[in-house]
Amino acid sequence: MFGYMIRRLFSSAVVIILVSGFTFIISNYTGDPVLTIVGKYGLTKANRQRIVEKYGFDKPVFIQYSKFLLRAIHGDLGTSFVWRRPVIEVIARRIPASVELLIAALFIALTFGIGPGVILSGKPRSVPSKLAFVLSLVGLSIPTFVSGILFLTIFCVVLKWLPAFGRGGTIKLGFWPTGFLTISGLKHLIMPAITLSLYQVAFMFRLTHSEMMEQLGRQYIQTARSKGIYEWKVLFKHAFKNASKPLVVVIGLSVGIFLGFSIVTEAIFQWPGLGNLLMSSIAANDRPVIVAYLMFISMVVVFSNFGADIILGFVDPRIRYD
Amino acid sequence: MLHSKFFSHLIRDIPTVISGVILLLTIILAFFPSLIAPYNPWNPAETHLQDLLKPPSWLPGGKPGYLLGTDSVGRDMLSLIVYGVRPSLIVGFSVVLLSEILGVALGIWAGFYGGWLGSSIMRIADTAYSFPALLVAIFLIAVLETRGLHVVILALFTVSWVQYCRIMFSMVKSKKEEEYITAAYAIGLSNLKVILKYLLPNCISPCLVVGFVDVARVIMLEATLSFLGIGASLTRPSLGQVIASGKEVLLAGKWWITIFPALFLIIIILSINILGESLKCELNPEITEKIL
Repeated sequence: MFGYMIRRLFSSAVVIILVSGFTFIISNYTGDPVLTIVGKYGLTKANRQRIVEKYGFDKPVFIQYSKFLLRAIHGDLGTSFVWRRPVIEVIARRIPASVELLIAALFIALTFGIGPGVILSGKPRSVPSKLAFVLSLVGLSIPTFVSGILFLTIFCVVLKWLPAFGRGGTIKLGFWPTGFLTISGLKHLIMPAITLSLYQVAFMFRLTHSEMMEQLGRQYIQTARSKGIYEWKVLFKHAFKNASKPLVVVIGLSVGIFLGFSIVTEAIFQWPGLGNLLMSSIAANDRPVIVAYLMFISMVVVFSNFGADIILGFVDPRIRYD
Repeated sequence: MLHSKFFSHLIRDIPTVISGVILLLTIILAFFPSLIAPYNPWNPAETHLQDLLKPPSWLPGGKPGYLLGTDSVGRDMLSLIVYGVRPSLIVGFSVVLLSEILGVALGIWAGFYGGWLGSSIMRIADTAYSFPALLVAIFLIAVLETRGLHVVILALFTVSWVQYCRIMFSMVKSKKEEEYITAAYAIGLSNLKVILKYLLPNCISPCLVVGFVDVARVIMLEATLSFLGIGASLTRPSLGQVIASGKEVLLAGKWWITIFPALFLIIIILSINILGESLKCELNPEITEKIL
């Protein structure tokens, strides 16, 4: 187990370095960084000379990259061209908003995806079960941005029940500004979180349902039922335990999917998170931020999969890490 | 694989039949949009600058010529929607076709020959699989610095081949030790013949089912990219771009520019998903369920 974790950590580091290299080198061939830094009106010959020398843009890309990597090991990812501040600081300021949106969306997806999936699998031919199945197919067919626009129109513009933009009030918990503890923060969170989770709710419901159906056909379930165990106990304690294995993997993967689609949700609801930062950085060609953002995402993706693998070992003790 | 019983099963299911008809009509529309569309919205000469933002014709203020109203530059909504089908479907089908070809080929190679090349292919595929497709596509389009349908196709193709590779790899791995393969070698067939004649037909069906549903996913991704403002050209908007173009005026109560194309997009995707669901149930449900 310990050796496995060390090896996984090592390969995770390799993935993150590869991602950084890939994005650094590719983004090196796009746009004019000097233009981004000094702006249209500061673009004189002397200025260009000065900036190119200062940042070393005239050096071969591999030398630029190895310098970047050396500094990155010491926790310095460079300075944002647009914000004129260390990239780490720019990104760190956006992390709380994105992470809270992600937690809320994951919570909704797990509660409303897995819960009904388990409960309704006990009576697959009942009307609620069939209805949920149809609804989940519809849920899989609505693109995130469409449901976002629709929610925004209905609940924020027409009915005026919920605020349309931003994150609302926050309270500082140490260094972390949280919106979970204020009424306005929670009100602002509802729509973006539901929008982001809708597709995943449908997906997790279907997955849970089909895994449960497979388990419920097994003989140990018949044995349990013939012993007269309560149905909910059969469902949750016996069947769900065995059905949860693929779910763990999917939950691990869904963190990445949420991060991808949070770009859309954040764009619709003007959520001050990482997704908005990425889109504005792409528009402004703010290279250091783009590279650092993708490194951060790859870190989250790699570690959430890693975490899922570890949890899998607890869910299914037969799995050996070697 | 496909026999008459298969089709008779499919046809008994009413939602499947309806979805099939909708999809067929949509494809016909993509080829011949002028069958329904009263105008050609891609032709700047056929925009009606005197009729901006007209509501649907049955509402007060609507004009009889524009059944679903007009957009903010005076294009007929019905025509825009009908013409928007083509770019959406082109992206959907070409991305899936290209991804199937590359993914299946690489998956067979990795599963059949293995070796360092095979294992590095699978390493790349596994790593790429865990990255959010939308994010990678956004990044690729951003650095390519040109816009157009081909750029969108390229970006989505880059993120889509991976799953076919993984499915094919595990299918080939599980089938290649079976007796009929050994028998095929025994009668002296070459590797290539064994692959093409026995492995491919026996392993491809999950890839085909996934590919069919994937058309819907790709169309959704294309629409999402358009919504984020990095889709294909604005003069020939896809459904996603038509929806996105109504975003600004939606908050001012001009709902028809967003709602009609959005409904149409959802109907197309839903029909593909319903058809895919029936396909999955008909073609060996056990295998597809296991791998997905």
